[in-house]
Amino acid sequence: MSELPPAAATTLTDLQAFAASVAHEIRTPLSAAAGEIEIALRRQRSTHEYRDALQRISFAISELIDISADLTLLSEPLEAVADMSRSVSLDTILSRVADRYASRDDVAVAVEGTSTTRVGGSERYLTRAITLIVEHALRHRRAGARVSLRMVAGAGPRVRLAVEAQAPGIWPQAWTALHDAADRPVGPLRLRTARRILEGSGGAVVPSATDAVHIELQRTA
Amino acid sequence: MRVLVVEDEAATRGLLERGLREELFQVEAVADATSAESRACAGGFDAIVLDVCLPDHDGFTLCRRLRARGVDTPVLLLTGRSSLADRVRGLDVGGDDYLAKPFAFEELLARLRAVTRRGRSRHLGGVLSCGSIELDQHARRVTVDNNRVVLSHTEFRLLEYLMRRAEDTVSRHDLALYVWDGKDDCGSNVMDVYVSYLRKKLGRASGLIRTVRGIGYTMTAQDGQRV
Repeated sequence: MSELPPAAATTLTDLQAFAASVAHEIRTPLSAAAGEIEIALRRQRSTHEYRDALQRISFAISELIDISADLTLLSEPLEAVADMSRSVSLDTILSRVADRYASRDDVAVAVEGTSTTRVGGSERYLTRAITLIVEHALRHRRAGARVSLRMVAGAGPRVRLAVEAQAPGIWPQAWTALHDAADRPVGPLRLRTARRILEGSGGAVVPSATDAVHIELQRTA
Repeated sequence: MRVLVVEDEAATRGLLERGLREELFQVEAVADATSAESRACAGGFDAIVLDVCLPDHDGFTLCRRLRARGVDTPVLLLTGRSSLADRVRGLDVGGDDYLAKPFAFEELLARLRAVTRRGRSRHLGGVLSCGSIELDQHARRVTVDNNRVVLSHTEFRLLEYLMRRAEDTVSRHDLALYVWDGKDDCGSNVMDVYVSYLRKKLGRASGLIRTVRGIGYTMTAQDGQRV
């Protein structure tokens, strides 16, 4: 590696970091699914217990499918991801994110006041990008912290959303990762995917000084 | 046996909690190194299952800090990183063993048994013995003076838990938690009925289970009077 030109060495380092991140992301749900199956088969169980185990396995497999979709997305041309010819209502996107967390009391999504706001990009991809930022906050919050998603600025050419971890907040290391993801096209798979979608859609990920990250989306008519 | 599980991934943490509880471990689970350090230093754990990748500090750092603070609880490190350098680092910072993800739960149990056995005389698995009673955890077979005793599932779990904690006073609350998954009210007489069934089946060895009035039960190697 020392014989490589600096730019190539940087690319290789980024690629190695990305590969490690992808391996980690895949390993987590894969381990969960394999473990659930092993534990479920260790003894005779009731139908209810098997149903619960199958639901958890199904959730893990859904995560693997999402990761596969994210990797596909990263391999696609930017214009296919961005799809700026489309315009979507912000409340449609936020409602989809809210639906995902409907059964949880540690995530609050404020949809009110967003029905007249339209943003450019693919509904599916933008929903995915915002979900990935929320997931990052959930994964890195301190014990007991709730995570909220709301619109903080609706005027101007860009719409700004805030993903916030309420007190006791989020671990500082998580913000470092967010800053890294905002500065360079590296970092964990989730953040890298979110960044690609948002930037391809004319938006951005903007870490703030507090326990929040702002997501900017391109306003459309 | 009390195990502290330190794992930030909710799905994996839940899996470890459920699986270990089914194997009669008493489990406390936390999601970050800061909480783990506080709990581990408070003591009372027989082993710590520690994920290396945590949101605040990595597991290596936590393990080193625990050793520096005099916590000698056996630590089983879990990680996705399985290179030789990482394994060596894990052991160098005071870890007792190292398990790469994804892992088989059976292997986790075996390694837990191994790391715990090193510092303790009690068995976590295999064959438990107390006085004339022998209990084979894998074959799920119980003998008294080498004569087979057939137990129901609940009776077996009850005896297994008492034998694992032999010579300890086991509270009714702990028994309710680990034999009935907390579904039995420890003030009800269901537990007493099952202890009664168990004593009858153990015959001459029934005196090894002693009632500690107002608290619970003790399993002793010496036949004794109920107190």
